[in-house]
Amino acid sequence: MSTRRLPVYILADVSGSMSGTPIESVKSGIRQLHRDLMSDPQAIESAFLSVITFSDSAQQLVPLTEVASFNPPDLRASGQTNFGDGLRLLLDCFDREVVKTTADQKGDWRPLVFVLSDGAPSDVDWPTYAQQLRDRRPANIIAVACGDQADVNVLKQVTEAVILMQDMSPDAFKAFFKFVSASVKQTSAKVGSVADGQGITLPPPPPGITIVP
Amino acid sequence: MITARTTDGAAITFEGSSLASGGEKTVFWSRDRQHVVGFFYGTLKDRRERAQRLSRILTKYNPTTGAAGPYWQPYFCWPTAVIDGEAGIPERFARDHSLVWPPLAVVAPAYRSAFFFTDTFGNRQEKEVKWFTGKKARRFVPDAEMGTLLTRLQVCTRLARAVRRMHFAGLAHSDLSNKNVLVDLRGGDACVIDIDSLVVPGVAPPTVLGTPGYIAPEVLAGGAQPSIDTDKHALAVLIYQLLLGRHPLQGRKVHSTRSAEEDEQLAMGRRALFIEHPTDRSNPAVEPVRVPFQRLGPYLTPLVLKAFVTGLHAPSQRPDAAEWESALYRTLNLLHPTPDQRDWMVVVPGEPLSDPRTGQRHARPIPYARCLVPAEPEPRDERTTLTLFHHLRLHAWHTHHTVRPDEHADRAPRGYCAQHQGAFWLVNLGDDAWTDLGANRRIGRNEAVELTSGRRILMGESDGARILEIHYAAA
Repeated sequence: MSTRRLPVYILADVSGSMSGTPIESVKSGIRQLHRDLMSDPQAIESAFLSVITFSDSAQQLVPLTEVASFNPPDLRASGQTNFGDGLRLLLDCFDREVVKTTADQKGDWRPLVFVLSDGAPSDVDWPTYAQQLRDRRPANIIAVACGDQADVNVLKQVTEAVILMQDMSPDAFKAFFKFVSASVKQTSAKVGSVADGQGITLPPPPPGITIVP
Repeated sequence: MITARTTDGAAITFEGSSLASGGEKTVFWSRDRQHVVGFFYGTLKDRRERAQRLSRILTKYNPTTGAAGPYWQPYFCWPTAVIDGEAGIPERFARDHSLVWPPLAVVAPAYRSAFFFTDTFGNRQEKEVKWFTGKKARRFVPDAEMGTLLTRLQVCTRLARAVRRMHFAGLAHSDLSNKNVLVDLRGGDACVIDIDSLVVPGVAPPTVLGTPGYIAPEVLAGGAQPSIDTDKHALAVLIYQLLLGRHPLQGRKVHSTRSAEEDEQLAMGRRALFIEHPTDRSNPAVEPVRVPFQRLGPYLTPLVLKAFVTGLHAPSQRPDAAEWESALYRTLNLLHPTPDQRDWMVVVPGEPLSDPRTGQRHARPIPYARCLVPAEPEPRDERTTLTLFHHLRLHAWHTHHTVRPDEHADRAPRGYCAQHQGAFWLVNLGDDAWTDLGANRRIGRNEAVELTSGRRILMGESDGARILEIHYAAA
C-alpha cells in the first residue's frame, strides 16, 4: 500500500419517513460527493468510501471502496428506524475493514463517519452500541439531524459533533454534501496534522446547518 | 454581480455565486474573469494580523511590481488587491457564504490556462502536484501531461527560483507544499500560489503549521515556527517528489502502533528518516526504488544528501533555494535525449550511458564539453560539464561563466550544435567571435568548428567567455 487510507463511512437513515424528496436528495448528494472527490488528487489517493443504510435492519450497500472505483448506490426508503443495528454494523465494518497499524504495517487513518437521521430510533439496543462508540472512539463521527423530527439527544449519545439541518429541502442536502466533501478533502490533505490525536478540524458548516452545542 | 472597493480605492466587480471553497477562503470570479476574489469565511482568530500581513505583501514585499516585476509575475500568483472591511459588501451576501465579518478578501490573478489539464474523464482540473506524483491520481492524467526529465527539471528550477526570490527578500512562504504550487510538467512551468500565508518580517507568524508531508521535522516535533529554514525542507521534498515520483520520508518503518496519526507524527517529525539513507536502511521505500536519487547526477546528489541526511534534523545545514536553482540548472546542462528519443537522461562521463527508466543504452559516444575559465598558466576547471547533442542551442549562460540563466540574462541564442555527415559541429550565431585555441583559428558569425576530442574553444572575445574542452563519453 503506497498511501495510508482515509476510510469514510456514510451511515444513512432510509426509514419510511425519508421517502420522497429526502431520499432522492441523499442519493444525488452521494453522487455529487463522488464527483467532487474525483477532482481532488489527494482524495483519489487516500479516501475510501462506504455507504451503510438502516431501516428495519442495517446493510452495507457499498463496502469500503477507493474513490476511483466507487459506484453511488441506489437507495430506497421504507420501514422502521433501527438505529442500533446501523451502529452495530458500523462497528462491525471498522473491525473488518479498517487496517490497524502494527509493527510491520502502516494502518489506516482514523475513519471519518457521517451519520444522517431524520427520526427517533425504533429499536431498544442502540444505547449499547452508542456507548461502545463513545468508549472506543474508533472514528471521528459527525452526526446530522435532518429536519425537526430528528432526535438530537440520541445523536448526542453517539458523538459530540452533531449538526442540525433545519429543513429537508434538496438545497439543504446539497449544501450538506458539499460540507461532507470539503471535510473529506480537508481531512485527506491534513490527516496527521499537528498533535490532533483526538478531533479533527472541519470546515465551517454551510448556511442552514447549525452545530448543536 | 457584486461591486466592492479594495483598499487602494479601486472598484472590483465579481460574481455572487462562489467558484470554489478551500480550507479558509471561498473564491469568486471577477466579472472579467481575469482575477479571483477569495473571501475568508468561518471564523478568523487573527484577522488583524492577516490584514496587516496582506497589506505588506501587496506593497513592500511585492516582487511583481517595479522594474523586475514583469519577469517575476509568472512565477507567483501574487495578490493584486485586498478588500478589508464592509467596502460595499452586502450583509446578506456575507451571511449566505458565512464570511468573516467585517469582510476580508484577497484579489489575485486567475491561474494561466497552462495550469489546467483535461483528465481522462474529460474534466478540467488544476495542475496540483499530487496529480503527477500520486500513484492512483496519475492514472487519470494523459501521458502528454506527465512531461519529461527536461521539463521536470525546468519546473523545479522555476520553483527554486521563485522561492529564492522570496527568501532573498526575507519572506518565508511558510506553507510551501504540493497544494500551494501549480506545475505544468508539459511546458516546464511552475507558479507559487496561496501567497497570503507568507511570514512577513515584523508581523506575527501565521497559525497554520503547513501541509502534512511538507512540514519540517522540527516544527512537527514541536517548538519551531515556520520560517525560511522550514521552507527549505518543503522545497527539497517537492523537488525530490517531482523528479523521482516518491516522497523522501514515507517509507515502511512503523514508529508507533498506537495510532496512524501518532505514527505519522513521528515519521515526519522527531524520527524522520530518509528512505534512501546511505547507511541507515531501516526505513526503505514502499515500492522498490527503480531510479535511485544518485541518477540525478553529480550536482543534485550532494544536495539531496544535505537536505535529507545531514540537514533533515539540522535546519541550518539544509541547502537553500539558490543552491537548488544552481544545481538544477547545471543538471539541465547534462541532459541528452534517451535512446528512444522519448525522454531525457543525465549524462555523467564515466557512468553508463543508459536510460535509468528503460535500461536502453546509447550506441554511440556522446560529445560533452568540460567548462574551463581562461587563466594563466593553465585554464581553471569549473568542475561543470555541458552535454552536447544535435540541435542544442547555446546561450550566453553556456558561453560565459559569468552569466546565469536568471532574470538578468540575455536570452538570444549565441550558437548551436549540429550533427552533420557523421561529425558534430558548433556553429556561431553571434557577433562575439570564438577561437579554436589549438589551431588559433577565429570562428565568426555563421562559421563552424568541428568537435574533435581534446579541442579547446574559447567561446568569445568578451569578458567572462569560457573555454569548452571537447570530449566524448564512451557508449
